[in-house]
Amino acid sequence: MDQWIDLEALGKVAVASLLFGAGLPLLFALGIRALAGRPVPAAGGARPGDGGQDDAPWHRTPAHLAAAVVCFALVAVAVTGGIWLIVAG
Amino acid sequence: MARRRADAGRVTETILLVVVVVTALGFDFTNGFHDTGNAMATSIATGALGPRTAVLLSACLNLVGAFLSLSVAATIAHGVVDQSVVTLPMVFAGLTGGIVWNLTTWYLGIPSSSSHALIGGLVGAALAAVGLSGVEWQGLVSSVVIPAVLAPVFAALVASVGTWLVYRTTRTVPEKSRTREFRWGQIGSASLVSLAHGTNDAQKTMGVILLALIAHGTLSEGADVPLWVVFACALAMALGTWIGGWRVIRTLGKGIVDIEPPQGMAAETSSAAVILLSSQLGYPLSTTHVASGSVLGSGLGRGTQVRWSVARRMATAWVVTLPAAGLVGAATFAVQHVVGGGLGDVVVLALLVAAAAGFWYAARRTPVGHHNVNDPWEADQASAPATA
Repeated sequence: MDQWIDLEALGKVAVASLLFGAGLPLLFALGIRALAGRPVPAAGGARPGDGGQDDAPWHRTPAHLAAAVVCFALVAVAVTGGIWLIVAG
Repeated sequence: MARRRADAGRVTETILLVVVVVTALGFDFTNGFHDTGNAMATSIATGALGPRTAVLLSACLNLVGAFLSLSVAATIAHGVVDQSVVTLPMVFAGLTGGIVWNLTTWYLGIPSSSSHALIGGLVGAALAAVGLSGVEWQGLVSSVVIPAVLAPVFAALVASVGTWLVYRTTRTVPEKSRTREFRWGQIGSASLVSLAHGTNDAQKTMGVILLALIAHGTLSEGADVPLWVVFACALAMALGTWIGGWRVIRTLGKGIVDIEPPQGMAAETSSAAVILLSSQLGYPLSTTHVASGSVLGSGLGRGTQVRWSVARRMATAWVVTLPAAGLVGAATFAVQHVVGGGLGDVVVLALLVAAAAGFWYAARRTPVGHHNVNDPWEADQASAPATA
């Protein structure tokens, strides 16, 4: 059976793909969220956001910016690794 | 007298070699335009890139990708067909099978695997030429069939998890900035897929040309890929990509699910990860199967409507690809054999050119191009030949 299907290699591909294929979009998304900062609480206590109130004021602190930079940098490292993977073949 | 006949045979062989190399580059070209959508369909569908910019970018990256690595160039020749029995007419017949099937699925707008079309054609030709013993069945099942079944499932799973996470994470971010930033992510991830495609698929054609050169005796077994082969393959694929297989792009970008930028980015990242990791671990996957699975999975992850009828048609084509291309490959070899000699090759070449012209003409009657690739899906389904 092992000659027909290599379960170990398939398992590796599955786990690694999930880690990178879903993890990188998550990192990128976290970066975007950090970059957006957080909504400034409106006077009435109503919370802007939840998809689409573009005119609501958002505030980005330096900490947000730093977090975003870290996220995007990690993504960039992973992409460079991907290209290296191709070159090393 | 005998000497002169031997010389004549030698000349015929050399002419056949040239024909085979040109046909291989022709296959490479169809591979390029058939697969543009794998990388770029989602970016075109969301407007992250203009259609013409997208195919140009993809073409450039395919070109670069083809030069990045040569290590899997001979994969297609190893382990699928018994190398010791390969002859030039067999390679020619196999390529013909691959091209004809690629053109058929392109005409129908189905994203099917170019690699399977090529492997199917070669296997069919080998079966017709030497029978069951000409095929490495175990290699075929373990490195082609099983990965073909699993790849889209993996990709769909990864893309659905990724999409779900992305939407969950950014649900409070204002729509406008979210769309803008995810478009950049989309362009990046799609570029990586283009690069990986150039590396994987261009090398498959390089492998076939290498096989032909060895069969002819120009190169000895175990020789490296000559530089001119790398250049020619890279250019043929880039040119095909640049022409753009708009029919397939349309199905992938618009047909299966409607795509938003965050989802497109998740889908392309999933494709890139699955393709790169699996080829790293020795599974030469079909880029197309992975990309289609990812697009479908991203639709599931976002909880949007998936057009299962389109997905079903696509899955049917995947199952049919190997045997259908094989049948064309076998039939081609039979024609070559029955007519015989140089004339047989000429007849096959004429039939191939006629088939290509026929598909091109038929496609012109219901053109799909950069002008209408993003039209709403339902609108044209009543009149499209693809629904038949």
